[in-house]
Amino acid sequence: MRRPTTAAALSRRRLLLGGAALAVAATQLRPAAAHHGWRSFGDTPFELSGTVEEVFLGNPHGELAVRADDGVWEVGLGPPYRNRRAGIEEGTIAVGDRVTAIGKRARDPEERAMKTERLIVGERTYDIYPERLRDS
Amino acid sequence: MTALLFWLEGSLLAEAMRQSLWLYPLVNTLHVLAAAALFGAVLLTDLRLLGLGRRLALEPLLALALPTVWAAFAVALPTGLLLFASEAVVHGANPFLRAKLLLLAGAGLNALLFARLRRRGRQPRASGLASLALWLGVLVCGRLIAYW
Repeated sequence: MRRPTTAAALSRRRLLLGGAALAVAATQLRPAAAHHGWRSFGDTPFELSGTVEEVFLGNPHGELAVRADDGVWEVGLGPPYRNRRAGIEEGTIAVGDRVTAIGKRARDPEERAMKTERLIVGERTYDIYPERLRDS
Repeated sequence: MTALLFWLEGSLLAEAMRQSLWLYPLVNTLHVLAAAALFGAVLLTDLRLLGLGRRLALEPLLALALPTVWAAFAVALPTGLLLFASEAVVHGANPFLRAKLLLLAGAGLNALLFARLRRRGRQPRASGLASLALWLGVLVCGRLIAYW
């Protein structure tokens, strides 16, 4: 005797399997995307100098890839409107520019990641988080 | 004021919010759930005041909606304070947060006024309209805090 629900049961199982696969895939993603706000960054002042390899100024926040002596760093900037208020626009930072980023580095010492309070591009200084700069 | 914000951000509680793996997401989730519950209850009440769903008597609706709003607010307020403390310096300068607090005060005054009018047997549409606009503003400004 054939069970009439076989096809439905099969597609349900496929759906479950697909969901499980997606869940597993999600846990494999690098946590880089979770770097919003200042939560994942420490409290001690940090400074990084290097050469810009990539520029991203979109949402939820801008990011530079900066090559320093010890490798490529993920240098977080502010959300788009904050960057613009600081004077950073499309074209302000170009690949190949020498930059110095002042801010806080990721709490996880394994990560080459920081979030920027002040960015120096060539001769110009951009205060992205002026309200946080009081103490440093 | 700035010194106070720096102190708050440096406090043990704020530090725990930043350091703990689960505390921030937990508090954040509770805040969003509270906002959803609060706005849901407010929305239905406002729509009723504006004339929709007249088959529902206003009094029993309010008897359910008001405690829901208060319970949700009791969750939203402390979780909101914790979220604020975790990044007090940056949030303290955030215009969307200030606008949200002003609108929140407005929504409170509007509710107070509505309560007085209701005791006099009135249930004005304007109360519902003002409430809807104010709470929508609160939610929108709340969401935009992250993008300033």
